[in-house]
Amino acid sequence: MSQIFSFAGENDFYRRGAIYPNPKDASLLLSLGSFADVYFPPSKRSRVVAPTIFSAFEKKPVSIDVLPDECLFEIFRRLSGPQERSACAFVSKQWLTLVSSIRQKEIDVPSKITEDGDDCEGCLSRSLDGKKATDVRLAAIAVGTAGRGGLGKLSIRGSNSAKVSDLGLRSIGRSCPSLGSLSLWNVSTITDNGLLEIAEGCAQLEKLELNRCSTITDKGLVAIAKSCPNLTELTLEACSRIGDEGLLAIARSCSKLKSVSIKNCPLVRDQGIASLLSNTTCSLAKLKLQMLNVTDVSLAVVGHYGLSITDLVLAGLSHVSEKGFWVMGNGVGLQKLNSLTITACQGVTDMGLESVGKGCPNMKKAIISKSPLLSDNGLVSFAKASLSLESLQLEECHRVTQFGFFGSLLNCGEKLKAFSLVNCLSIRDLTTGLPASSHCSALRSLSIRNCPGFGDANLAAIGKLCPQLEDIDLCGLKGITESGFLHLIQSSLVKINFSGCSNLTDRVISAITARNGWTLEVLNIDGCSNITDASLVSIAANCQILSDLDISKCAISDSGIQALASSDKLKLQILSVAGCSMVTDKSLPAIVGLGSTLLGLNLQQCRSISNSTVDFLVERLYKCDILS
Amino acid sequence: MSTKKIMLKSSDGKMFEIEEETARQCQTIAHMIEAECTDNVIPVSNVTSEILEMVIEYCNKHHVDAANPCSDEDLKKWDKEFMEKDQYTIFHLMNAAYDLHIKSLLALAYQTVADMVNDNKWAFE
Repeated sequence: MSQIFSFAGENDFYRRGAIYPNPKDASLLLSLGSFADVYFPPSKRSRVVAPTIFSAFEKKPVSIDVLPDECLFEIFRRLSGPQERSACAFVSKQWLTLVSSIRQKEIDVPSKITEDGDDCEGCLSRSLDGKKATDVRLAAIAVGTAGRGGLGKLSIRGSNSAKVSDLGLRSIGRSCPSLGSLSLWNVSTITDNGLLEIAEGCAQLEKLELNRCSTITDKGLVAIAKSCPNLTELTLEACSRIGDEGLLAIARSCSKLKSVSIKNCPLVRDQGIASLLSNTTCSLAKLKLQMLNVTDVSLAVVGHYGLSITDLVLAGLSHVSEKGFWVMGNGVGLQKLNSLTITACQGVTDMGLESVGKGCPNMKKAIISKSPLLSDNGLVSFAKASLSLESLQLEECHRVTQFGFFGSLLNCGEKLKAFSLVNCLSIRDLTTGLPASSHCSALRSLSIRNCPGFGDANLAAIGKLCPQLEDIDLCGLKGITESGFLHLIQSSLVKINFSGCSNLTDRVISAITARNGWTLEVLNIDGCSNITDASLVSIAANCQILSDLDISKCAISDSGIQALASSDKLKLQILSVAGCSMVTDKSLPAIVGLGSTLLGLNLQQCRSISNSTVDFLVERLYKCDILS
Repeated sequence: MSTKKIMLKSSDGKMFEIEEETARQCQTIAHMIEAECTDNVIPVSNVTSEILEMVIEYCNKHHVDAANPCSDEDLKKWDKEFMEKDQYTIFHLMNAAYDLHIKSLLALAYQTVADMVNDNKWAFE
C-alpha cells in the first residue's frame, strides 16, 4: 500500500517494513510442494483455497496478501491453535514463512490440547537428506509438527547443493520448543545464528550433533550451553571452527552431560578437554576423543577426573606419548571404566598399556588396534592386570606374535569370554606345546581373521585350551588344513564362520555337523571352493536348528539345494548361494520348498538362474528379502 | 471551554471534523500535529469516507475523559458490536488502522479476523 498522506516532510516516525529485517529472507524459501509437513483438520481444507476477499459492494476483489507482513503475523499469532496456524501456513509460501516465524511465547492464546493428549510432547521425529534439506521443508515441519505433539528429533544431512540455512533453523527454534535432539551433517550454510535460534527456542535440547559444520564457531556452542542446561549428549566432528571456548561453556552450564564425542576438530586442545572433566558436577559416562591435537595432559585429566566414565574411546591422538597412557592408568580415576577402545595411538607401548590395565580394575571390554609399538610382553602384562576383562580385541598390532596371543589367553583370568585377533601379521604357528594343565574354560567366542601365519598347531592348542567354545570365526585363514579344522569338533559350536578358508573340505563339515547338529545355528563357508553337495547332504541330515547358512562361491549344484529342501528338520531363515554358478533354474522347486521359513535369500551372481525364476521367487516368497 | 478541532479529508473528498485530542489516538496524525505540518485539513488519501467515518466513530468512543466516561466492560461490549461487519469492511478498517497507526483498533481488528478464522467464518473465496 502506498503512503496515505500526501504531504512533504518527515515520515520516518513509523517505518513500514517486512516482518523480517532482511527483505530477502522470505525469498530464500523455495516453492512449497506436496511434501509440506502441515496438518489439516478436515473441516479446514475447504476454506483455505485462495487468499482473496470479495466485496459485496465493490466488484474488484481485494487480496488479503496486500496486508503488510506485520498485520498477517499479528493475526496468525492470535489464532486459537496449531491446527489453525497449520492451515494458514499451507496457503502460500509467504504465509508459511510468517507462521513459522512466530515464537511460542508470542502466541496470544494457550494452545489447545492435541488429539493425542499431552503424553506425546516431542514424540515426532523428522529427517531431511540431501536436496530435500530446504528452508521451506523445515518451516513446514516446524508448523506441521506443532499441532501433533511437537517435534522431538530433527536430523539434517545436507549436501553441497543443500538449500538449508539459518532461516530454516529459525523456524524450528520458534515453533518447536519440545525439540530434544538435533543433528546437523554437512551443512556449511548454517551459521552460529541458526544455533542461536535453536538455543533461544529449544531449552529442552538434550542431544546435539554437529558434523562437518564448518561455519559454526564457539559462539554457537556457547549459546547452546547457556540456554540448554539439559544437554546430555554432544557430538562434534570435523567442525574446524569450534574449540576450547565452546567446550568451556558446555562444561560450565551443562551439568547433566553424559556423553561427549569429539573428532577431527583442530581447535580443540587440552584446555577444552580438561574443562569437560574437571567440572565438579561432571557425570560424564562416555567420552570419545578422536584425531585431536591434544597431549598427555588430556589423558592425565581423564585418568584423574574421569570418575564416572564407563566407555572411553581414544583414536588417532598423535601427540599423546607413552607418558600420557602411563599417567592415565596411574590416575586411579577410571574405576568405573567398563569399555576401552584405543586406535592408532603411538603412545600405546607395553608400559603404557600395562598401566592402563592396572588402573581400570573393572574394565570388561578392550579393543586395541593399530598399535605398532605393542609387543607380547605388554599384551600379557595387560591381560594379567585386567582381572575383570571379558572381551579382548586386537587389530593390526603387528608386533604381537602367537606367544602374546596364547600368553594373554592363559593370563586373562576366569572371566574372558571373547577374544578377537584381526590382521596381526606376526602371528605364526606354535612350535612348542602349551602346559598340559592350562585351560581357558570361560572363553565362548574366538575370532581369528586375516592372520595369514595362523596354522594347524595353533588350532590344535585352541581345541585343548578352550573346551567351551560356542562361536568361532576363522575368516580368511588360508594356512589351516583339514587336520587343523578337525581339532575344533569336540566343542558345542553355535556359530561358525570359515569364510575364505580355502582348505576347508566336505569331511570337516560332515564331522562338525555330526558333532554339533543340535547346537549349530549359523554356518558361513563363503568362498570355500572345495565344499560340494556332500556338505549340504550332511547339513540336511544333522542340523536341527540351523537358521543361517552361507554357501556362496562353493562348488555346489542343484542336487545340494535339493538335499537341503528335502530335510524335514531344517528351518533356514537366511540362505546365501551367491556366486554359485552350478545352481540353475532347476533348483526353483527346492528353493520354494525352503521358502516357508526363509526371510532372506541371496542369489547374486548366480549366472545360471534366469530373471524369470527370480521374478517368480519374488512373487511367491513374499515374506523373503531376495538379493539378485 | 472549546477544544481545538481539525479536519480530515477522505480519498473521495469528504471532510470530517474531529477534536484534536481524539485525533491524537492516530499516532500518524499526532506526529503531524507536533511537527506542525497540518493546515487544519489533513488529507487521508487511502481511506474512503465510509471507512474514515467508522475510524472517527471508534476514536470518539475510545477518547475517554471526564466529559466522556466509559467503563472497560462497556467499551469491550461496544467494540464487539462495532466489529460485527462484513470482512471487506474489517479488511479496510485494518488497513486504515495500520496506516493511521491506531494501536487499539489494529489489535481489535487482528483479534476479530483471528476469531473469524478460528470459527470458520472468514471466507477466502
